[in-house]
Amino acid sequence: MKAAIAIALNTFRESIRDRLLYAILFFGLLLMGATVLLGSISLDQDVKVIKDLGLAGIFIVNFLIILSVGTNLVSKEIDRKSIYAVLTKPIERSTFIIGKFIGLGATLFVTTVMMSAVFVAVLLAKNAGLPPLIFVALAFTYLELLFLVAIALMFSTFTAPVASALYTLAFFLIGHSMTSLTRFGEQAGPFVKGLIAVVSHVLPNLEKFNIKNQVVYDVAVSGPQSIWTVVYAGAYITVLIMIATNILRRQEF
Amino acid sequence: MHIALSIRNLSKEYTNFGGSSRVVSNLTLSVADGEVFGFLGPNGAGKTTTIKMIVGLAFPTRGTIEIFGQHAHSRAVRARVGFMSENPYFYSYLTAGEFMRFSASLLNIPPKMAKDRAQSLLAMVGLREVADRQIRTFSKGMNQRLGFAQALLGDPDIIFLDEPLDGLDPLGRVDFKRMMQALKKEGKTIFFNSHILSDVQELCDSVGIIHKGKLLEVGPLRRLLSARESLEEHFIRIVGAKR
Repeated sequence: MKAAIAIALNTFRESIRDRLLYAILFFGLLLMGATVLLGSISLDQDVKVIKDLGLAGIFIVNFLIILSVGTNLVSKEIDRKSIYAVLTKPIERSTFIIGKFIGLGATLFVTTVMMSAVFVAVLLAKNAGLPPLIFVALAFTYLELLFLVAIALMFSTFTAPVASALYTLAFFLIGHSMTSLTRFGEQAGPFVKGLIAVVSHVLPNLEKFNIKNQVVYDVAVSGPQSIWTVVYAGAYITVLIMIATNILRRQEF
Repeated sequence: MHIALSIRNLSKEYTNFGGSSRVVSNLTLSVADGEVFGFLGPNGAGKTTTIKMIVGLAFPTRGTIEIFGQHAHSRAVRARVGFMSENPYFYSYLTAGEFMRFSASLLNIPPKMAKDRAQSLLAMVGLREVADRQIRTFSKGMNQRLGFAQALLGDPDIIFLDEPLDGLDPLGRVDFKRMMQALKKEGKTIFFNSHILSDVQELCDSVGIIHKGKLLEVGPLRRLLSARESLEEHFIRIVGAKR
């Protein structure tokens, strides 16, 4: 576990010193500020707009970080051969993958907290109050980001960064279309219905993490639903990390 | 005499759509404890692939590799092994000191000892003054020195160096040779690849010559070389005959 933490710390250090991260974060903070402007031009819906855009902005910025940093977490190390100095030490390859996951997870935690602080400050400045549901939504956003880190990390073990980014993006788009796809499947013929049923069981349903509408319209999220979502994410992330480890175990350099 | 490294019938084949190619073929050799062994061969002979198989970065198709009588890829063995790759490259946004401490934590070295060892090794390789500089500002030679320092961090009993003298200026080469001689005096076993045969002759007790994946010759230098023949002349004669 010590080695995994060392790799995580190393990944965290590397990513927070990457200039690209600051560029994306600057864009994110600008976006948070822009929610006030966009809210003010809406018709008495400014708090709703700020909540909706704020939560979406936090997710988008962090997702951009995953696409730019997460998708080359392993492939960059292989390309630059920096992985040689790690894997020849007395550690397991699974430790490397777990460390990478925790490291980027920690980076995203920091960026999520920073952006959330601005988001909360904007809400307080607008006297919008702070319903606990906002924090549940932020926690779910972070959980979805961890999910996407695991997907990006898995692809990063065997594909180039661009391909890995495209696959992760495809997973994200399919994951958020799963509810619509299932509805479509109910009306389709038996073959398509069966195919969609298989896809919906294999690929993740990322809509489980999206409670923006509940936040905007103040609709409570049930306890069991929240617990089930956490378990769902945990199980999927574990499987993705196991797949990534297995791929890396077979890799030769 | 104890055997530090034992390679038996080692082969490596790569298979792709065009068929398979054998990069290393039935390689058998052993290196005694405390010996400096030079692994020589022209470009593409299979030297780097062999080293990668020894340190666990590639897997043999056939054959066995043992270090101090144990499977070379076991964790217990890897804790006793130091490795420096050819043209080493490290985390560009870390400082040299941070990278050394990171490497030490992978070797499970306690933080206080890690700090002291990192400092003394960085001083030994001439990087003490730049320990707080990010690696991305380092030259090729400085990366090479850092690679050497991290290979020695765990106080390994056997050290594998892939082209350690490649790309170094003459002063750097002198420094490296001095450090390797010091390690030899400490009783460390060193296995390294090099194209610079005069340096190999100066440093090594034994050599192995590989060509097209096959070991042509292996043994102590004093047995392989005749009185008037340099290693370079010998190498050209042996490898040239097989071309």
